[in-house]
Amino acid sequence: MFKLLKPLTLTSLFLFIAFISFAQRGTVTGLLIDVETNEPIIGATVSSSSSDGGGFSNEDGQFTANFKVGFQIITIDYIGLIRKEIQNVKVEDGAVTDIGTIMMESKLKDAVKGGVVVRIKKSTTTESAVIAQMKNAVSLIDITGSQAMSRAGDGNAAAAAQRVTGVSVEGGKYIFIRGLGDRYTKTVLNNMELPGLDPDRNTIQMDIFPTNLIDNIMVVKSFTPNLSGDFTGGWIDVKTKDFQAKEIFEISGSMGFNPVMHLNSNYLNYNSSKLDFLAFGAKSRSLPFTVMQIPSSLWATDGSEAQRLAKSFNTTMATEQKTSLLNSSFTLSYGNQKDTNRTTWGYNIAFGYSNEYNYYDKAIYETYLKSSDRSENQLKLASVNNGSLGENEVLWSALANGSYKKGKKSVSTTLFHTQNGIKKSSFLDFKNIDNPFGDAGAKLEKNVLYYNERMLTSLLLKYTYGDSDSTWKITTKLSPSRSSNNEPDMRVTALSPDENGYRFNIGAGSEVSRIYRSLQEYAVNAKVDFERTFTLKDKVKTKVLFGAANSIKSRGFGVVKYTFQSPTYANMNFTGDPNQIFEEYLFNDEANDGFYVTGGPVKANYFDAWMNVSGGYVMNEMPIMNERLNLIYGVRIEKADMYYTGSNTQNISYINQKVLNEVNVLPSLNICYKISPEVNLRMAGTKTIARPSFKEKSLAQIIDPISGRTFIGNLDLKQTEVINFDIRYEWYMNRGEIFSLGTFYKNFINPIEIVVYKPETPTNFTPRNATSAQMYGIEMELKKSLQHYSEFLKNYFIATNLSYIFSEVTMTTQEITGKTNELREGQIIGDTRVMQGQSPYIINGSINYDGKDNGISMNVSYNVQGPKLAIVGIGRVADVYTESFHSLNIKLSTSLGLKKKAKLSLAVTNLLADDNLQVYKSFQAQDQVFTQLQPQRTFKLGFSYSIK
Amino acid sequence: MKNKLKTLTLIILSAGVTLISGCTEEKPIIDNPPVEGTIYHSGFISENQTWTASSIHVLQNRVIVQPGVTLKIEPGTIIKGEAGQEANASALIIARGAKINAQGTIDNPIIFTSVADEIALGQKFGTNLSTTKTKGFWGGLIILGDAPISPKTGTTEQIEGVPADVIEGNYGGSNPADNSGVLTYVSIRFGGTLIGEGNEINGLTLGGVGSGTKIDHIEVIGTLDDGIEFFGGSVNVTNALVAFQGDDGFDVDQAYTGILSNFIYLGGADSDHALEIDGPEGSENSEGAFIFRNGSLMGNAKIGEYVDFRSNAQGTVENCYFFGFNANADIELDDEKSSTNFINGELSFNNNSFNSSVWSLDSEGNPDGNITILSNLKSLFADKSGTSSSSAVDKFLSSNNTLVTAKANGADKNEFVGWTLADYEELLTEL
Repeated sequence: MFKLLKPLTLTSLFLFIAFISFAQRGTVTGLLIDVETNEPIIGATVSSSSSDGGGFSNEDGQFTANFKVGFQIITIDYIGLIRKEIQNVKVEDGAVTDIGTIMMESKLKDAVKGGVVVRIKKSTTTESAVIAQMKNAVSLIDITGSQAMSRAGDGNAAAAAQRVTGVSVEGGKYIFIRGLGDRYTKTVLNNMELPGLDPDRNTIQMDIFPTNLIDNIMVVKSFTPNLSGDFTGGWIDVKTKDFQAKEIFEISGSMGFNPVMHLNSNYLNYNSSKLDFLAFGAKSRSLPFTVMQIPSSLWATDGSEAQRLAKSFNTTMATEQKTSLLNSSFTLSYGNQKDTNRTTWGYNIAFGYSNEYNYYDKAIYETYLKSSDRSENQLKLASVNNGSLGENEVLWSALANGSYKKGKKSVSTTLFHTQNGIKKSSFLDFKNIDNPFGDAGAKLEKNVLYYNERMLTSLLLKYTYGDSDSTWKITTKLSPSRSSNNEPDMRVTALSPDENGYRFNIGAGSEVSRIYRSLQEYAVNAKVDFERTFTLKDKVKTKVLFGAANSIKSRGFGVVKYTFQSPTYANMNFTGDPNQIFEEYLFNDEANDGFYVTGGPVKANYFDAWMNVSGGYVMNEMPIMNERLNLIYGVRIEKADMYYTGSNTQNISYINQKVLNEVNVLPSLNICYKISPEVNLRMAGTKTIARPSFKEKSLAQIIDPISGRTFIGNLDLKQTEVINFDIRYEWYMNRGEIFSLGTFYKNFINPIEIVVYKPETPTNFTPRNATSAQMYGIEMELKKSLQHYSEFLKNYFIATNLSYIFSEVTMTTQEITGKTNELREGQIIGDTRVMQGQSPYIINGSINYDGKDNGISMNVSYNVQGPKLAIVGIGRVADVYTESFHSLNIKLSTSLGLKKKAKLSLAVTNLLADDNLQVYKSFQAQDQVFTQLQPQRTFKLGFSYSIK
Repeated sequence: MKNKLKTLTLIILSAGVTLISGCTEEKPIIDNPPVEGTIYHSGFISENQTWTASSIHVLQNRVIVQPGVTLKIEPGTIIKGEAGQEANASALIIARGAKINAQGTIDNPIIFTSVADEIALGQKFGTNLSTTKTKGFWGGLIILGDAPISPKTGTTEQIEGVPADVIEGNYGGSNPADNSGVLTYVSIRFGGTLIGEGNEINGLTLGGVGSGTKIDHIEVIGTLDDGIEFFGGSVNVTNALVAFQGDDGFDVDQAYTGILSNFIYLGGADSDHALEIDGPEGSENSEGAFIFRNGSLMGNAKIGEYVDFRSNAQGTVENCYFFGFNANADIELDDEKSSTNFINGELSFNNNSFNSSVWSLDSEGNPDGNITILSNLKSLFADKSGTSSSSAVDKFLSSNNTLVTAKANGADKNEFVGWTLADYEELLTEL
């Protein structure tokens, strides 16, 4: 009889609760736990010998089933697990019988001996749990859990996320979903919006979340009205660790060794602050005086002040060779739960620290241009900027959360902080071979010292009312957060080598400068969600969800540059050591000569902006056709207002000027059709939007001395509207297994592309609305245990996914003109091109071995992303593509000790020793290097120990 | 329950406020206090305007005369630029289609200088700033026109330091006879501030300026970058003096096709090339060739070179007199195309004379106070194109260039007497 009952979606798991009202019937409740993984079992069938009534376990593993009065044999079934029969369960009229926790075992495994913890929360980390979550979701989602992250040895969220179908990562930081970047992809923390960290982007950089604090990363690919409407590629929810049902206390540590980068005496560093190892290096590098204008004439009008100011700076300007240490990392986590009669307390703290060294002894940065002779197809080398680069990155994060639950009410709070410091020291030989964007023939020796401190603090407060039995469920969330990205005191010294040593040659580009850039963001998000469950006449449950959200976000940005110059350089004998300038040749009032400081803030390079988005929604989950078809439909209304304070270089100022005011109605329809208990067919049709960022819709003309680019805002910019369609076939074969095949189509109206302002200004960028863009693609995922195929393969599990994406965007007239001007003979360009940053294909594959008896496990993982357009070429600048990086990693680990509390692991990353390569591509021309870095192989030895 | 919710909300809100406070940031102080009796200029000039000599005029930042508008500057007017870099750089820009009418006289030259210069109304010279050392105290004078240029791509270009959306920063076109007005007896002092990474404003920048423009009697002293830079265009310039600049004296780019005649160059302690000549950058208007004639060029004892021909240079340098350079200075052909152009005559260097006395340098490249007498011309010439160089040297030697012991040709310095700072500082005596 239970064959007639189909495992249902999460939303209809409460189906039989209301049977209580029938006479001569009673209720049986219980909790189902997988003995092996300690996870709740979701969607198991509960039936009885009386062949009447039954139920399913919900997402917490709990079930409530309704049966005839009497002694019943309760049968519990779940694919892949041994059927459990509980004899002589007494069902009383109108009463509830709790049969407690039922442990279930895998069919393929010997029974596990006792000692199992029974109180348990829903797990969200293991492979089987994340797949169960995907199966029961109302929309199209993909998840990767912490188990997968630790198996592959991924260190941060960016690395972990790229294991998800259709996800690619740019520059190790920025997530692209289905080829769509930050404009179309939204990253949230525990379902709440975050402030950003990058002056050029809306999104948060994903590399600042270490995986040891993450439970799972969920990527929602089809919009539902309870999410904010400004995502198209995906909504990435980073879920931080929650407390565990049992007491846990774990510590781990690792050391990483890269034979090329580590213990290398050529490693480049610079004399720096004592707090760098805690990623608090910005303060010691702050500007020695209040930001102010220092006129270049100060030395002539007030020499003593000029001397004082010049001497106030830190004197280190040179890179120094110093032996690099090994990579190291350390994590700690503790969590527990306390139950009293009716209340539950849970808490969790976690901390992670890592310190890594990278050294690139042959970093290549080259500029090629199309020939001025249009009959010549080959690109010409214009300038080279090659050398070596030392990089030290410190990342630490701390997380604390606590939760209190009493009856149907629960309150929880999470405080998260992450702190990151990156120190880069580079020594570069620049040569202008024949570049009209500079002084032909110029040679420079550059020492560049850079420090970047990023941080994010986020607090989440959550109140929930209601549980799985309630007709009403209310969730209120409030989350203030703050982020900052400081780049204090970027020190550049460029001297021109010549026959007699070194010169300060202005024409060749000699410079001594100190640049300070900072970004501060604040966000406060508030949300309330209501969920009302109705029982229809055929006992089908339907849910109505409605709620409101408000999000305020503000951003302050500024960059200031100070330059050092001397009235004359005639009496200086430069040795090439940049420190000499600050030790020997600083401005001296008496001699009335030497390097003085000049420059200061430019109004146009500062802005403050803020935005308020209010939203409200209503949606309904409606199971029809005998609950085989679940319709999730609804609408969200969002009102967005954006305000800008700043001026342009023509001295036109905006003070808290409203630049964007939009109201959007965003409908959504998700359909899930259960072809069989194991097979879902999903379809979705939604409308979403993409708003311009603060500086995009503004009068900004910001010159960024770090990138050398000028950003020009566009007040006429319209927001982008996107129509999304998705179809996906999902087959959940066994527990933890899935095969899915999907296709999608997106149509963009007024897509925003960052393009060169006009062909003659290749370093001036502006956002423009292209008339249209569209993309479509297919995605496939397979996660499968090989245990059914042979005894030898029983402990092997494979996981693979691939995406193939096609995109095209109409080019703006400026871009077409700029490209047409420099067409080579026989070359034709249309009026479309691929979207920037989009990989045409993404392939992931991994094989995992889990020796359950010997405690040994092994994971081999591979990731590759097809070449993607990084820089859109215009005029004589050719397109730059990021070439595929074939990432092959292997990780071996073994449990130690009698109780297997300790674990030792060895991982090798970048086994193929592939390079990070970006190349120029042009019509019938050989590809030429734009940048090339060689990360080499890294060997990592790790140890972890579970104290509790 | 209701009360609990209320308390909770309050706690949450106060936490939010705590996180948000600390949002105070120091705002930059930018503006200088105004001085009485001074007229301040900033931004766009959109109607005809006259700047009179009765006030000091201060350029607060980029002042742009818009197309169709004429800016008249009376003889004897003093214009001072404020200090500032990048977008704060003070400069007077005559946009394509706009005109400047700045006709000074010997007695009342028009002077562009820095606000730090204490020169007062009615004076021709300030005394508080060092003539030989001061540079980069403000921006410069930029004139843009509609004459053909050969930029990197297409036929127009945006002047450095002006964002692309400011259309007034665009220059170059198709009218060789374009008229940007008149500029005579104008002295531009101590400019050349930084406007971007590795970019400084020149003393006088001429971008695509047409031959209908009249430019003569120009002095550029102490600019941080180049003295006068021609970006294409066809304007003729006569009686021009450049001294003590931080980079090159006269600089040619983007296939300038005009004539510079009767010019003087005085190399400073930080000057690079007296003449720096680049060729066309792109495929449009790439035939253009310049002529430099009748120049007197005095080098520096320590540093600086005669001429650098590079990037497909094409044009003529003739009847010039070079003296006072150091022993290491040379005339250089930097690239293969320039070398080829030189051999086949598209680039010509003829009838020039060199004083055989040059300053000798010690092993570290510093002047030792002695004089070396050059025995032949060959040592002055350096073909660094990497091609077989004998034919280029032969061409140089057969182009009627000579070693002399006294001034034989060059500029007539009398055109610079009475109105230039160089004359006032008695720097023209050796010419």
